[in-house]
Amino acid sequence: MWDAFISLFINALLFIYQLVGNFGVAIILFTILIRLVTHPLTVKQMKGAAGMQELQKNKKWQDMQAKYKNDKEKLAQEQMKLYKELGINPLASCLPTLIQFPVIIGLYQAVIQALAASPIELLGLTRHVWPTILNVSTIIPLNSQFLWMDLGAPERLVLPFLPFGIPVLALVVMASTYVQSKLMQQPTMGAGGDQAAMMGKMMNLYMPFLMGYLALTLASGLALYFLVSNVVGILQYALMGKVNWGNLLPVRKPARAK
Amino acid sequence: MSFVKKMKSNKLILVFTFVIGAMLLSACGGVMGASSWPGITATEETVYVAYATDVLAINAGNGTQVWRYPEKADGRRNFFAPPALNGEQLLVGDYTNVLSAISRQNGTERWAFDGAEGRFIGSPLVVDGMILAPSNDHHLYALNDLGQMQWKFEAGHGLWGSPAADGEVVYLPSMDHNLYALRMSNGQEIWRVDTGGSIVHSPELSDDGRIYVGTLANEVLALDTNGNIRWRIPTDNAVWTRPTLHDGTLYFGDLDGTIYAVTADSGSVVWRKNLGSGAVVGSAVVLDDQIIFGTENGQLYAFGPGGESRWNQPFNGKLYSSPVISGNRVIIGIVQGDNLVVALDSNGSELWRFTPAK
Repeated sequence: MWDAFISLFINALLFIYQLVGNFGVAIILFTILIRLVTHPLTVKQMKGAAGMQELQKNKKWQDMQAKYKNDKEKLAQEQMKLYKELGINPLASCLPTLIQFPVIIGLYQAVIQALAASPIELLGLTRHVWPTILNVSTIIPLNSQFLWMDLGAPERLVLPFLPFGIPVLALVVMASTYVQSKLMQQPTMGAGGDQAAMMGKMMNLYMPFLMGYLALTLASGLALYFLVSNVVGILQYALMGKVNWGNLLPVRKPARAK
Repeated sequence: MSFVKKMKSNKLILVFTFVIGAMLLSACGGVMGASSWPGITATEETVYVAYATDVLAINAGNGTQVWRYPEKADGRRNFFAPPALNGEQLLVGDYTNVLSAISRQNGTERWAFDGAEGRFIGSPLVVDGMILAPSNDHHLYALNDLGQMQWKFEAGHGLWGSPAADGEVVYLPSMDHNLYALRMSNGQEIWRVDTGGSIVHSPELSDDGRIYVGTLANEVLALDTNGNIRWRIPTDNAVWTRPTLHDGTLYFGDLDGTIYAVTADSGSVVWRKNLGSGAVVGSAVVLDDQIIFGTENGQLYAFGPGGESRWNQPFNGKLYSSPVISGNRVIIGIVQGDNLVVALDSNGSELWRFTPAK
């Protein structure tokens, strides 16, 4: 099952590579394709977040916040009841993010196997390739160079006047993940008391570091995927009118989403 | 369970999922324990095996370990290229881009060449005191026996196969589809031929000046020393192996598991058979007029020159490595099996088996 999933990724990626002749461009186009395919999940994520926002305007919700402000346990029980009553899943906005993980791991394996930097990987690649759509003799070996990067290795920009390489892509991935989370941050009315909101804040804080660390240590092909995925994600939200541009300004409180 | 507890547990699950995801990805990013298969070289007395973090010298008579290099294994330093013999030195290339010369006697390091920027996947060739080391950084490095670079040649892509040389000209296979002919004295290119597919293994060079190569474009080609293609024949799948020349016939296999016997002068197929035991990745060896092939599904087959079956032996694991001959023994390397190396006699009877100590 997993093998078939990886095969699908490898063949889609190599098919695009066969058309465009550049592995970096192939990863960019493949990422856009993945974001389009997972667009329904993005919409679901957005609706989940909007549902939570609407909930906070609900009179019952506001009453219980005031009534049980000194009894967190009871407040949580009442919140749970209200979630059930209104058919809201407080984790609905997180699940689409979690579903991305198999995609990321699959893409990583597809990139590494497609670049085939060792005999085992090349042997594996020859097994995965579908000869009906791909011509093995012409696509192997893949050109792994894209701009200054070797897409099969962690990226560092080496400048002649510096004794060390700068991890440009990791920094950009970290920044774009932070910007994306800030732009999509929803306003909360629970004054930080709601667990789901706290969880969202925690993720917004840790995710840029996690993604930056992965981009720093893994093949730059994957970091390119992270970057493009973030940029496309922001565009998707912007096109749906759900981006809070005001959140990027440091002194302003988070603006309310449209 | 109370809601607070449930939320805390969900939070833990979320954090745990991210941590596991990060670990999975990070683990994939490191050097894998087995990104290739054992590279083996043998003399009548000693079998040298390069596999993962170790280079091992094994007594060919009884299968006991003589020494291990490096003394303390380094997880980042992986050896898979078959070691090359250079007098009293053993040359071993690794996946951290270093080619080391170690004593064949006791495994101590003599010198190390760290001028490459890519992995050493193919074995170095030693001709007339010159070391020709192909690297995945697209370069062929020519070194003297002190490890000092004499010249280097840049191909269009990685070099995985060992070159062949006749003392004046080096024939260099490349993943960039080309077979290059270089002047051995200075590395100057004489000619190049686009074979149509990546060449993973080394070419076979005959005494009468023919070069035979298999490619991933499902072909085997014969060229003369001027770079003219004399014949080319199609195969069922990609050819990973070096064609083995014996008494005017070439023997090789493909990734479909079909083996071929082809006349060296014209490329006519004498016989062919599908072994039905997975891919043939390692080259054939000849022992006592028997042609011996290993397969991916762990079978070792011996055939007579006419294709008649002599014997076959099953093993637990995959036989990707090319078998080698040590005196009158055939030595095989096994990956993903119980043992790393097994020695057999010419009748296929097991003589000894070796598993490295952890």
